[in-house]
Amino acid sequence: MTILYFSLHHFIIEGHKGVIGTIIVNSEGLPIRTTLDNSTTSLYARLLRSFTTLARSAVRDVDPQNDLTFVRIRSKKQEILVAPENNFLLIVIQNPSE
Amino acid sequence: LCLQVFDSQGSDVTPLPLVAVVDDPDPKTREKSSLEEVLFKKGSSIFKSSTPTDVVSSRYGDIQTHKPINMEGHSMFIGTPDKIFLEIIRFVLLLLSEFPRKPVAEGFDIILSETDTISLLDLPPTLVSEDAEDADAVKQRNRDYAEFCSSKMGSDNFFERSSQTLVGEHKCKYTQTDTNKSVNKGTIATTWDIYDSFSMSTENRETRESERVDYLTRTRNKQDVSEVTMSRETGKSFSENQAYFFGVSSAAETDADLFMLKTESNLEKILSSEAFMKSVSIMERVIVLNIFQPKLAAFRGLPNEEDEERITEEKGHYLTPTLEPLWTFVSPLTRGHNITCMTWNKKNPDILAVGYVGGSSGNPQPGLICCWSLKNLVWSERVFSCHSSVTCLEFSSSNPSHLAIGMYDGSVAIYNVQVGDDTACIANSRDCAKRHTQPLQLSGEEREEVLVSVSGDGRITKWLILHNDFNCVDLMILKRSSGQGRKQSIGGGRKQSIGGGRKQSIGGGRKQSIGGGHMHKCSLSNSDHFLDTYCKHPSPVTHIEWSPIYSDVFLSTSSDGTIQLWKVDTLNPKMSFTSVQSIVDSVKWSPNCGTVFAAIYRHRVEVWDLCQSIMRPTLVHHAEPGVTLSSLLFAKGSDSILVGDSRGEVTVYKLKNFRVGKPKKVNKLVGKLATQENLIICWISFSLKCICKHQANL
Repeated sequence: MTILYFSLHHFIIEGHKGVIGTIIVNSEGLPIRTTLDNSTTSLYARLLRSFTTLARSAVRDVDPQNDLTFVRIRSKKQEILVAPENNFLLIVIQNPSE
Repeated sequence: LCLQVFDSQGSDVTPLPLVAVVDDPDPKTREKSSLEEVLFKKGSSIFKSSTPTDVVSSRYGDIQTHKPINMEGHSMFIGTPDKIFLEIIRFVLLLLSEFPRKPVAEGFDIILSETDTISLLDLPPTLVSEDAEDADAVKQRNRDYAEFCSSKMGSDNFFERSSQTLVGEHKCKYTQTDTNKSVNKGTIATTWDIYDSFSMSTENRETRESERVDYLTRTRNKQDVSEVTMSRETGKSFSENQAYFFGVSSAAETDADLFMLKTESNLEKILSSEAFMKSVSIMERVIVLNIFQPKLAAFRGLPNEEDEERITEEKGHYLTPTLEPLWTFVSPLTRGHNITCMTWNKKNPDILAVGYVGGSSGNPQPGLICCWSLKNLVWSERVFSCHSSVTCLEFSSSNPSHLAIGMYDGSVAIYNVQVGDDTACIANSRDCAKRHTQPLQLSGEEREEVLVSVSGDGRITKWLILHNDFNCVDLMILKRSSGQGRKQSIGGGRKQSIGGGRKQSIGGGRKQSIGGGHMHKCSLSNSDHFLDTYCKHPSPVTHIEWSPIYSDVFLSTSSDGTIQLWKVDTLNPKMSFTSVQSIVDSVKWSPNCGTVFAAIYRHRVEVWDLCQSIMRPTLVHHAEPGVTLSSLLFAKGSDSILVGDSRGEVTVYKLKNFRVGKPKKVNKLVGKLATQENLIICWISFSLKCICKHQANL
């Protein structure tokens, strides 16, 4: 009799310390869910989509059997975390030192 | 006016009338043929002046004329076939129009006549008498001209061409066509693109292209028409919900009105997909790792930037060792549950399994097991619910994902922690016939993985999994010593087999309600009786712990507040440690250092370092008021202690300023050789140094 506890991870992510915003981008590059404002969202979505494609292309060029699983861009003020999948892109912006 | 013109040779080149008078009974047909000849032949032969007679007779033989046509020798005949044709046609039509009026088959005369000649150009010749002064010059000029004309015929410099003097008006004609659309299509043949194309069969490739929404193969060319048509073909309906339509994100998708999106269902589909859950869990881990990065660095012993500054400042000062709390494993599910046991995974030292008591102690209520991972300090990776409170648990060495737990009602279960849901429980002895009646302690053996449990009813049993059966075999029954009261729960320890020794021993402790607590050494190979009995504690023994480094040494704790250090072959304890008069719940050796151990009292944690002092603990940490500490665990490879308490929280502490200097020598001596003589020497040296209480007790 094991009870399965399913945590709604997605909403928990937004509640973590230091998380500035979360964006989900679909395969066409349109943000379908976001916690930031429109202009920032579209900016991040556009830039990170092309960046992720470039990163994936680089990884697969070296070894075509390999594939990209996660991208982290750490900058002075924050860290951008991107989880790329086939039909969506999950972007989280976090300020870890808060 | 009749003129006769002679050329130089004296031949008669008098221009003849163009039209000859000929009687012909059938004028029309001849006329037509001649008209056709006029029309469709190039006009060069008409204008040849060399054979005027033939021309005239064949072309215009039918037409009566009354007027001769002037024809000059040195001038071109200028006449337009069109003009003549029009005139002729006019005559014909006139005649034809008169036919219906005379249906009677009578002969009638058709008289065709020609109109006046319209002279377009009239260059009358200049006549020069032969006797004039310049008659010779004129003749010479005539001769030159005739030569010139004759030479023109086959000469390459000249060619016959008709010209039209009347130029018609230009007319603009407009046409309209579709613009030629051009489409740019390009692709980048990267290594992985080629690999992808090869690894797919042709059928898959076609279906994949038609519904391609893949990031991988999407090209970044502008005006990629194929992209636009694909989105049309998918047949999505336009969504009215403008809130989701944030505008165009890249130059390649500028035709926003062409995109038909159903964004709402898209979002739900993504959110519920498995890939999304996996991504989210990874993301959560990363975020948590980011947040707790300094703490985890301290846990692992990595230098932290802030700490280094402080260390350089305070170098040389002696600082009291303290426990610095790093983080707490707690979740809403576990709040309020007392923690009974904790253990690390054998294979992956980042995984921690914690057993919880369900509800308050006493009544057997559904217990809880949580598997925590160091990668996610905020939420437990696995949560299993058991039908009874968990008393002890242990990971298996041979199957690292198997977790054996013992429960308060005497049953044993094995869980497979790789599976995250209800089917994790592999074996459960709830249905087993033989059951323990008391709480268990588990021990897993080293070489052949054997699950042995010791329970309060005095049985030491070995558990076997046969097919779907989970059965047990009694190894030994601890005899009750006569006259003693009801047995209480037993502490069990284990000992690892040494080298090639076949002897596998279990230390079984037995507590009694009255009188002293006894400890028995048992062996798996010899199940008849105990090998040894260690008696020292006046009150029940709560815990026995073998040293992971010295295989002959174990510690025992009891509720009398003392900790005794034993060596296996000696029936008296080597050392005794006392600090407060409080029940010692548990004691654990440090896996990193052979002389460090920690003990849990109800409200404090003590860490003893035998190299520094055997009189008092090196480090004392008090629990918060109202909280009872119940479980203790060391972390291998790290200077940290995990303490579980009655609130359901596992707090990870770092041993700060805890310098363990000397024992390296001791470790070397003992660890490598592992001979008993050396061990005795070490311990004797310690005992000589200090004034110990235990001697007084003895």
